[in-house]
Amino acid sequence: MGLYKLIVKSMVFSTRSRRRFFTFVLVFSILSGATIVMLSFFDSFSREGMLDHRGVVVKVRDPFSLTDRVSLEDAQTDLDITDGERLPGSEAVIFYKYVNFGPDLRIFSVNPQYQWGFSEIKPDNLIAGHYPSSDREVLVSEEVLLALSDTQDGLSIYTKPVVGTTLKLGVSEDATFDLRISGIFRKPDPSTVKSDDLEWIILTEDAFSIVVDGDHLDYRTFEIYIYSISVIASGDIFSGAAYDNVDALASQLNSLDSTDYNEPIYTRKENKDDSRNMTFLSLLFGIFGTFMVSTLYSYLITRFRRREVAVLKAMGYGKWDVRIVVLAEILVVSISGFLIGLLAIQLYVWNPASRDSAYFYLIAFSPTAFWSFIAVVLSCVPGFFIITFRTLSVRPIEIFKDR
Amino acid sequence: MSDILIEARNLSKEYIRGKQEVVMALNAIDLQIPRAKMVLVTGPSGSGKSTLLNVLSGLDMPTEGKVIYEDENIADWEEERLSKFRQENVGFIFQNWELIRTQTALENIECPLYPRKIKSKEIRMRAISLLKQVGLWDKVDNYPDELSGGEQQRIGIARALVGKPRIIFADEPTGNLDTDNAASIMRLLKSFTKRDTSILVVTHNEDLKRYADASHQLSNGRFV
Ligand SMILES: Nc1ncnc2c1ncn2[C@@H]1O[C@H](COP(=O)(O)OP(=O)(O)O)[C@@H](O)[C@H]1O
Ligand SMILES: [Mg+2]
Repeated sequence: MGLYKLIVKSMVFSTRSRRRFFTFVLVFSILSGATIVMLSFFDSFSREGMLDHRGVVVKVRDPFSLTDRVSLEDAQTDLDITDGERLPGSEAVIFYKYVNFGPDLRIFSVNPQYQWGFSEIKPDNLIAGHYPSSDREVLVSEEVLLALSDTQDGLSIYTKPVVGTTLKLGVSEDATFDLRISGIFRKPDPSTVKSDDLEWIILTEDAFSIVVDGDHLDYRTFEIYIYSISVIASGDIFSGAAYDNVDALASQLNSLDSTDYNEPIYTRKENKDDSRNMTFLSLLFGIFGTFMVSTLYSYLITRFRRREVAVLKAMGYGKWDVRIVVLAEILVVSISGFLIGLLAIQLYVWNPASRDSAYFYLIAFSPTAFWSFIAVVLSCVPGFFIITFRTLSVRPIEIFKDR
Repeated sequence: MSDILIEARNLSKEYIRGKQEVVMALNAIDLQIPRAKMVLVTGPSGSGKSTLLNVLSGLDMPTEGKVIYEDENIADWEEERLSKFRQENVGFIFQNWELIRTQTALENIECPLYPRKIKSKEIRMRAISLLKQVGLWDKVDNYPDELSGGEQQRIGIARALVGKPRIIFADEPTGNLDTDNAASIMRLLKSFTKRDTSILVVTHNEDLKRYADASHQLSNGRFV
């Protein structure tokens, strides 16, 4: 009971030396913020930048030209791999389906769990809103023109899509499927990625099935129906395991079909090594900085609070009582700094003005935040020892020395 | 039950200054501090007053001699036992008050009790009652920097008393106060002897003798 009370009081008191407290909380928040940002580069799949390090896309050329309603599941059985299967070295195998609907429009399905599993719709290309997460949401490409047609006068008014408006899919008035536009999407630059002139709309798999299998669109008129498979390599970028897996998967999948349709999309390892090393250096800087500051800070507070420690010892505070009083300060300061750094980054990520894509990332509960927190706590270890030994050396009789 | 709470027998303390020079800060001192009395030790600066207080309270070890408390020589005790002894039986009052700047007046008074197994409510009650007794009820939430010297020393006294000590050691408690404040601090201290607390005051100020039940004069580490 005495211990609990002492810890709580010490934590409260350590926030009261305001200038020192706020200065170091700020320093810690900057450093742990840097650590979080750097660590998040290693947080593989959750960062869009990692996408082309890790994906292997295999397109199977026109295996199904459907002449009648064949269920999607039937179609899949013609392939060696199935949706959700785990190949050795892979994190997941994901099937995407698309249908070319008429001369202008291509409709994609996307697995909400792997929103950017193929390169054409990577988050870099999102310019507003977010990926569809329910079967009532749709992502549309910038070029999609919503036509307001007045057939009587033969006039058409075209309008650019806006997030939040309703898109009606259907061949007739009484068979439409209403979808809310959840995001706008920039078609990839055809000079870097194989692309086409069609307008794209991207639905969740469920919505795709409803639209294509249901009565909403009469696909029989157009009937081009192609599968695309993404295989996500597993392993972490930092140790290099992901590169090996990407290579292995690419050769494994080569046998599926002709080389034309097998495009491992990843930047050559050599090119990535540079950026990886830079990131690693910055990460070391962040962790080393936190480590240095917490060590320096521990040293400083044992100096600033030396007289207080002497008084407490004279009053009968034991060795550990005194240590707790001082340790509470470094813990409160470093953890507050960490939380503020984390909050600042989260707000930055959330703020649409600072986002370069509509890609949404909740960092606060991510493994990155967890590991950064561990790094911050570990960086306090030398400080802990400094405090332990330096408070020991304080002799209470110092207070009686004439000043 | 003996009338003597703490007793120094043939107490000596040597310091080595520089390389060779030995300073006899205390030289064969005998001193008895009776229960519920205020004892005064006077002497000029450098006469050994602070050293006496350190050794008697177990903060420092004597070179020779004994400090007897309840038939035991505390000079033989381990560090941990001495902390516990000070926590339960000793209060300190310092010349520079030594209040903790990040704690309010009330919290400074409570501070010695935080590590102890005493309920927060009980601690708060004791501190408030002492705050009233030292006449600073209206300064409960003030920080030391917002208090005058006399007020800070009153808080220091309340802090020394909160653990219900059997003895209070005061080193120049009025050293930085004007005459009026000094007199009222001494009267306040004296009033606590009525509650079975012994008080040892060391000071260079001869005028304080009139508040004490007994007084001794120290010169070059010896009583004269
Ligand atoms: N740690 C120390 N090392 C060396 N000499 C000391 C030390 N502490 C005190 N002294 C010396 O011991 C003598 C008594 O000191 P002190 O007890 O502080 O005197 P007072 O409190 O009466 O001014 C002085 O001569 C002082 O210089
Ligand atoms: Mg002195």
